[in-house]
Amino acid sequence: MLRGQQPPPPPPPRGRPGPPHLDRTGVAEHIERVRRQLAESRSNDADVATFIQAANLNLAKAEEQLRANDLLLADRLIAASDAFLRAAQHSQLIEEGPQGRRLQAPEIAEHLQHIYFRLQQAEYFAQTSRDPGAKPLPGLARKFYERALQAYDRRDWLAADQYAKSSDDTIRGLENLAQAATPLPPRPR
Amino acid sequence: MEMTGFFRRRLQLQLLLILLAAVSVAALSVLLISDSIRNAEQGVIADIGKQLNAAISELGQQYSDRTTSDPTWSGLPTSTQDVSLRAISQAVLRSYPGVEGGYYVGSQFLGYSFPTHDNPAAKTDVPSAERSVIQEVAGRAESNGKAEQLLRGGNDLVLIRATSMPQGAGIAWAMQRRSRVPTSGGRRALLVALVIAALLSVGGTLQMGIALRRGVKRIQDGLATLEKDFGYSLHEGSDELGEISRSVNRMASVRRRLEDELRREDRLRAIGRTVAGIAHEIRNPLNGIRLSMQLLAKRLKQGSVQSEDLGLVIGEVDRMDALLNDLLAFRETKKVALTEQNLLPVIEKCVHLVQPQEGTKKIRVHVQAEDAALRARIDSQRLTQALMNLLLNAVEATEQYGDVELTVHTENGAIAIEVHDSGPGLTEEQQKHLFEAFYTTKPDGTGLGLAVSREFVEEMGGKLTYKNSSPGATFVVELPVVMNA
Repeated sequence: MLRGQQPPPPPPPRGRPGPPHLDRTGVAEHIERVRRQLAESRSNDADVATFIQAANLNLAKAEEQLRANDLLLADRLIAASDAFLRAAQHSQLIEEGPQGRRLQAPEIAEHLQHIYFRLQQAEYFAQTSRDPGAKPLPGLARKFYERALQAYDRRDWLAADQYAKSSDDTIRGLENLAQAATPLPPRPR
Repeated sequence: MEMTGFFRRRLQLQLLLILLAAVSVAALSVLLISDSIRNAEQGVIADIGKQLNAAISELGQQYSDRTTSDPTWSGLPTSTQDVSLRAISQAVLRSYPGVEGGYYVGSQFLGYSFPTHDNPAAKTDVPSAERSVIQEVAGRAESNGKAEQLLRGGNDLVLIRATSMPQGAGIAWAMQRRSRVPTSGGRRALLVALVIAALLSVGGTLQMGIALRRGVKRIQDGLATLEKDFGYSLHEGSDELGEISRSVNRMASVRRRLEDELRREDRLRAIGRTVAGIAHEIRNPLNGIRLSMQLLAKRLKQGSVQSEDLGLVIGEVDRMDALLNDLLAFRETKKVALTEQNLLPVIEKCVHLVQPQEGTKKIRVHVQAEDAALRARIDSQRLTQALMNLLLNAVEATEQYGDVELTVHTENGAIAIEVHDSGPGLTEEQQKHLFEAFYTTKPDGTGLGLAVSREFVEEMGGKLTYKNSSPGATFVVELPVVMNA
């Protein structure tokens, strides 16, 4: 420790989350990365188009919040945009064929069980977000979950995996939107 | 009386046992109902406990899944985490009707929900009434791993459970409130009804016992009166014991009728015996007179009539006269004249009168008096005749040189004059008919002496009895005592 340097502040109480460690650059980079990927994405399916539309919408909101210097809100919104973009990308990956490690049936089944539980939260997240654009998204998440189940039944592991991930990412995006809509706690003194 | 006391005590004991049984049944019923209510409540608590355990376990699992799968989780503000955790608890607790709960992390409630509430949208905050208790339970769970608290308030039963999540991540808690319907509703009414029924049964038993006891006493008193007065009728109530009283009255009535008939038959038999006795007693002297007259007629023809022949006739006529005197005495209608006087002079006079009889057999008559001043209300003529009969009988029964004892003493509040001889005594058969008219053991007796003597003694308010004594016979004259002034 250098002379005259203050000691670090005491850690927060056990289990209590500390203040978010966000920095403007990191959020801005995230926004830029999503923007680039959105620009490259194509929509040949109405459902995918809905995801990309939601991603674009929330990208714009994130930029707006970044400009307003509300980093937390910008972070949640770009996270939502990123999640919807991923949901769109998983569908496209099915057309491109298998890449990398192929998941086995038990892993996919476990993932589907997790999504089944998460689907029960989707409607709550959509309502909490108070975002009209989020309204069709719980339905889409359910639709992709059912597609994943059908693919699983016909032992199409790639499709089952990707559809499951699309559903999961859609719910994650909705959760981010709900988090963005939550009033922030007062800053610790 | 001893048996009556025994039956009364037994009846009291039986009534006490019935009462005890009724009270025991009532108390046991109340205990059983209370126990079943308690058991039912324990069952409800156990059921709630199972639900809460399952819900808390699932809450903890989902919390772990959610927080470990998101590297940014710990950096999120609590309000943001609250949204995600509320979604989790809603999804989890939807499967547990009536259960509410969430997380307690860093001394803050997070992710509270009650999805099965009638209006889940309105239930966004931890219930204020139990908030402090939940905090306290969560605090204990942080220290002990698990904690629970049962609250009984009014008609509600509230169980709160909390479990510490792995790696100090916080506390998952759940709570369920149930109405204590089993206690407050039908079962309580049942309990009240049972208590009333028990009180009624105890009261009924007591009332029945008291009525039974009174009824039994009434019958006992009635029977005691009936022993003295055959004309008495027991009170016939309208209860079950009244039937017994009616039966007893019917039995007494039949007994009275039978006794009347027996008495009438007895009188007829006595008249028959009397007539037969008189006929027999008269026939003997008549036969004697007839024989004497036949002899007299024969001697008249021969001209050799003697004065002895007439003497025999006169003797038989005297015998018949004596018999008629006894009969008249037996039917004496002269009113008894009782006067208070000293007994000893009357007794001494009797002893003096029998002396010529005793003289021939050299018999000695001893008189012993406990008190020379003993006084009684007597008719001296009747007492003299009665005592004379007894003394003459005693002298006749006694062998030559024998003794006759006459003792006077007080016994059981009466004056007892005992005449005891040293003769052979009486057989049982003789004792049975001793005081019957015309019953005699002597060849020349009329059989009226003892009957007349008993009649005289009873007219003076006393009684004449035979007392078996070996050797000899003892007759006892009992007279009411007169206290000395």
